[in-house]
Amino acid sequence: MKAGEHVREIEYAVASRRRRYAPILLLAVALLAGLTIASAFGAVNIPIRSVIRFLTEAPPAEASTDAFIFWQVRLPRVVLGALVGASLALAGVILQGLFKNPMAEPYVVGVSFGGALGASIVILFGGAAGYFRFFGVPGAAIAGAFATTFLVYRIARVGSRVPISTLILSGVAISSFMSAVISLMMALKSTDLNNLIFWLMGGLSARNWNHVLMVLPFMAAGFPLAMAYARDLNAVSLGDEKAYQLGIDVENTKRILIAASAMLAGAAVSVSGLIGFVGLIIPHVVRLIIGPDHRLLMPCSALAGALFLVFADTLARLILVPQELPVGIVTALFGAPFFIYLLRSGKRSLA
Amino acid sequence: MMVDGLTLEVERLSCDYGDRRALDAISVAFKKGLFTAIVGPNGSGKTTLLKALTRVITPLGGAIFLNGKDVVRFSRRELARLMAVVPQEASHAFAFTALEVVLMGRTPHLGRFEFESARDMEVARDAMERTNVWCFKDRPVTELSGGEKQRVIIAQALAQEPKALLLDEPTLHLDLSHQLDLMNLFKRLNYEGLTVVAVLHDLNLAAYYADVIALVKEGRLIDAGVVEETLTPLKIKEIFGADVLVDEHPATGRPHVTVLPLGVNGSGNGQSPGGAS
Repeated sequence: MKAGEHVREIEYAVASRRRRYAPILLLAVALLAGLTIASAFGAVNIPIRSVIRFLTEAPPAEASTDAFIFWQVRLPRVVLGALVGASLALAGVILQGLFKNPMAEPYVVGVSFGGALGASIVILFGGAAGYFRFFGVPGAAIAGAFATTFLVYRIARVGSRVPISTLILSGVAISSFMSAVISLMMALKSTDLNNLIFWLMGGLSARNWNHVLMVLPFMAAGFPLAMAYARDLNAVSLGDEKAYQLGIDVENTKRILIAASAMLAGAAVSVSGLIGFVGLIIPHVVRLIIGPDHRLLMPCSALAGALFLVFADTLARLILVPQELPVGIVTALFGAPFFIYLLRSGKRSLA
Repeated sequence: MMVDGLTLEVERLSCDYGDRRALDAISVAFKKGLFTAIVGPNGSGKTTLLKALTRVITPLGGAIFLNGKDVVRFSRRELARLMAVVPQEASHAFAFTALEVVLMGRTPHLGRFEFESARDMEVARDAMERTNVWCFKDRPVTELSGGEKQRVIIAQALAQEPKALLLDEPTLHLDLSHQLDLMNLFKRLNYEGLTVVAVLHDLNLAAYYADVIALVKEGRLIDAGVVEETLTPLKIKEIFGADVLVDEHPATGRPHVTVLPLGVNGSGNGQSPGGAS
């Protein structure tokens, strides 16, 4: 009797842990639906029925305006929005885990600004268009994001942890410095400033398949890399010492995860500029619902981040039709109050 | 369930901590199946020794042997299957459930993309029942009391299925009854064969629970041996600079240490504190 109960309880515990993977499926379905619906809305609305027809028709037979808008304008933008949202959210998860601080996020920490600086250098001084420049922009953004993450970590950490106060202060200082350098470079080279300024504000307008192609390899590398170290990140969240004693090579894990988050955040910045707070809101909400296990938190946050940014960008397209708002403004309108709320509610426990 | 314990030998180990020499060519052995207490004043290198044993820090010189094999020839995962550590206090950045924290103890047994099996769950459950935390397996660790958190971390250490348990003042932040609960648990684990090495502050806990006492001061081993030979007024005076009375505890029959106020001479067991002015 006792033994049977024991076995049943273990089986139940195993099964209930398996069941936790349902949220991934649920979010994936929601994302597909979200992408479809979002492709319908914009300056020109396309009937959802047409969208579904475009997607399911094997050879794209139709040469209508709607079809052109869908394939060449709307879909690349929505897909890029999903990739960027997923990357920013996952980068947020990684930074929070590494810094052991749920307020860390690429934008708040200054990593996005590092990426923007890297990308700006290539955009302003990178010479003529070509393959070098094509992958040079995300490449330089990733290098900038990588260097900045290390810098913040070195400056802000106390022991193996990065407390809120030093995290935010160093984030402010680094962002201001990077912005100043970008402005200085723009002043030195006064061509094409409008584009650059608009890009820095964080937007997805006028993006095409080339932009998707530009960042896809980096994001495709960043995701599995992060996932491969998800369990190690769980252990690292117990403190470096404990992680070592659980058999984790802590320094190596940190380097790999910083590289993964830089790849994701840097690639995102290089195509969409400075979009803040996705990496803050999404991991936080997802963690509240499914718990902090990074093996689950990472894929769920990526999917939820994709869904969120696609939604925010749809709002950005619709609020001022026919004009568009940079999506960075929408995410900041949601995110900044959320950030303040977190700061106040967590003041005691996180400082 | 019997465990074949681990023998840990430290030979002329030196470690720096910042610009301070924390361990100064210390040599000490922790024998298989014994309960050894490391005793010494603050800053004498006790914690550093535990960190060096688990290779959290890299020593400047010297060597460590586990069952005769040089520690540098083990991978980190192998080490984590041999030794588990219970720190003074665990820190939790995120609200993992108690069960999730204990399952992390299975990390050294799992491949990179492997998930916990029913057997891992079984090990975690056994560990949690031994430390009396299975009843709140689904509660977030961040909401547990200090004593409960500590028992969860001990369960995590047990889930590693180690051959040696290293304790760094594991009961420092706990009240009296929780202290005793845990010490009794460690003693039981030790009876089952696990080697226990415990840094202990409380000399009487050490006297009651340990088989062997290692006296450490300024990064060196002063003496090591059975309780009766090491916890003497003379040696305690040498290590801590305090006058003490050591007599036999009427209930336990083990040596009992009482710190004497300045100017009082102890004379328990016919011994008197040497060099008292």
